Amino acid sequence: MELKNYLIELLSNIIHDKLEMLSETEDNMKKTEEYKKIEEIFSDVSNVLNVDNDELRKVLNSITDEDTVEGIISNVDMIKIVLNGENNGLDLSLDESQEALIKGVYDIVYNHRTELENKCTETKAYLEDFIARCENLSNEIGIGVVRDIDTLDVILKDKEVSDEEIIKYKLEILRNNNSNYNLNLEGKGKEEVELRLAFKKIDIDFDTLNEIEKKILINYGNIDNINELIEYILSKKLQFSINNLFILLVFSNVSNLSKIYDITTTYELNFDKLFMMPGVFIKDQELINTIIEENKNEEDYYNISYLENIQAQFDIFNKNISLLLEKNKNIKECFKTNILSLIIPDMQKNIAILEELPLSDKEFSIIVINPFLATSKSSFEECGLRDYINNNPLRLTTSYYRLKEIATRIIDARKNGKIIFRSLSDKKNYWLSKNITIGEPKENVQEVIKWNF
Amino acid sequence: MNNVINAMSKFKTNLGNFIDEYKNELEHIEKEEEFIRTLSDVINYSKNDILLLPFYDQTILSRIFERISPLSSNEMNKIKTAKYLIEASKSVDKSHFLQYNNAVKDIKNIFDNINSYYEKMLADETLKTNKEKYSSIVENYEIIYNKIGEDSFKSIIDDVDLFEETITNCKLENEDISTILNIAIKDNLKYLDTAGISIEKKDNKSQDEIYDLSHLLREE
Repeated sequence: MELKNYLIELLSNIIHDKLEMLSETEDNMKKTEEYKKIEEIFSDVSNVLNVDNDELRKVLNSITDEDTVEGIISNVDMIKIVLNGENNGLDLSLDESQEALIKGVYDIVYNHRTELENKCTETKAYLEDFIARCENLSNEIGIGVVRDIDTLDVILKDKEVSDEEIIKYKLEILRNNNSNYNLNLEGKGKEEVELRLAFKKIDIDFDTLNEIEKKILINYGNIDNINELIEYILSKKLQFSINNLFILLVFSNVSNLSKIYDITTTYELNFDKLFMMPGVFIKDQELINTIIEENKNEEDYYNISYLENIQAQFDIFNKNISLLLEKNKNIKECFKTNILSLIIPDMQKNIAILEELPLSDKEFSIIVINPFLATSKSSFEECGLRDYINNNPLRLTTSYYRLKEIATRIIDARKNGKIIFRSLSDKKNYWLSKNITIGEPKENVQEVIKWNF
Repeated sequence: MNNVINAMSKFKTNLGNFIDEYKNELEHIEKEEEFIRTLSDVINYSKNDILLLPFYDQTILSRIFERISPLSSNEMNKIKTAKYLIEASKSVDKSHFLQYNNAVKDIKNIFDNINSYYEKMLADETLKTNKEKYSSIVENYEIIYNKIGEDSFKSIIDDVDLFEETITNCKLENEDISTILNIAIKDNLKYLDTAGISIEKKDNKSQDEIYDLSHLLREE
């Protein structure tokens, strides 16, 4: 017989047996009423006169052996005689042993009754639960979506079903469950289902992504890599915006992410700030190029054009962190001041220049990671001004005025000096002339910092 | 719980070993392919003028002879002699004519041997068939391998045929297979539910609780 049918029949038999047991249990529960009656009589000495010996015998027989029962009955008869005489005005009274016997009978019946009640209640609950489970399992087997595999195991363990048959049947369950969920997991759509499942794990709705991001994830994302990343995200309880998460899942991997995470935790840096430069998380610049190339004719190409500006900067970031560590500089300070500078390609060169200046550690940290000043120092060297700087130990600060002063001195030193500022806001080049024509001195230092060489 | 962790751990280890075996086979196939490419290179190098053969990289030629003529130890000597005679013939040393002609015959024989060995290897489909077969095994089984977590599957088991094949090949005890299948069934349902398709869920008791119940019923 097919195992499925065998199981349904088996479950039906089990349910039948258990229902009978349930009925017996309920009968046992009823028996406790008889115990209660005896208990009530023996709770008060005067009631003993009314005890029916047959009823007493019946109850006691279920508790103890026949000799003991008959001994008790004979003693009870004596007690009845005494009580009867007493009631008829004779000078009779129960002795201590007789009183003790009455209490003993009460106790033994009470204890047995409560024990039986507890056992029956427990058994009834178990049986009802087991029957419900079997009915449910039988129903599941019938429908073809079997969930309660534990109950199935228990049922099968005691039966003469070979291991091979059990394995075969469980594989059948696995197949049936999948197909009965009406999911075409083998064909198109499988990747999306997997991705949706992965996103559920981090409690993010996959539909939050725009269509092009979804398409990129489905077509270019590696589900195993994505699952690994998500497990890591969950284990570290990391939070990401949907855009950053997308970038991370498509272009990064756990080894990359964990390295960055370790760096940030070791030096108490703000992990979230790193997403100001998503390129740091990206290991696969080639994939970005491929995606852009393969989608450039697509209608929604503009949606991915932002990827063009993301360069894989992880190696530079890692190198710069190592460099600062090597120089024993306060990374936290650097990170706090301007995180973007940690991806400056020529930081090593800048450090070499700055190290020759009498700067405090804090000043060094601020300057070396400031893209404006750091790059400018590097540019100064390229302009042949290294000697000038060495001979004029400038106390560099981020102040605009100080910067202006530096620039003026440089211009003085280089009669035909040409220093180009490139504005990040309008992408135009500006000449820094003797008159500092990049704009009037401003109070707000941040505005100046926007300018870059 | 321990039996679950143990079963999954055995599954992962055995499957890892199984995959490694096939990776080793693939490495061997790649070496064979490399050898075929080397033979092809040698043939192409000298097919228009077999007298060029002695001037091919001696180390590589030596390696080829070790493989295709292991019992004939003097191939390299013949090549070296031929190389010397060809060089010498440029200065028209008549005393070497007979030896020269013999050397040319030797080179031709050697070339023919290499060529026939090459053609034999090319004609042998086993390498190609095995490469496809083993690559497919490694690729597919790694998909399953990557799904195995410590006590659960990391993602849905969608290809049950592949899963069955994998489990069968992993040399596991029936009890472990049964445990692994339980996990797969439960996790698949969990993933399917998470995907938004649900069938009424029961609050199932743990297996231990059910065993307690089962023992109690037997005692009854």
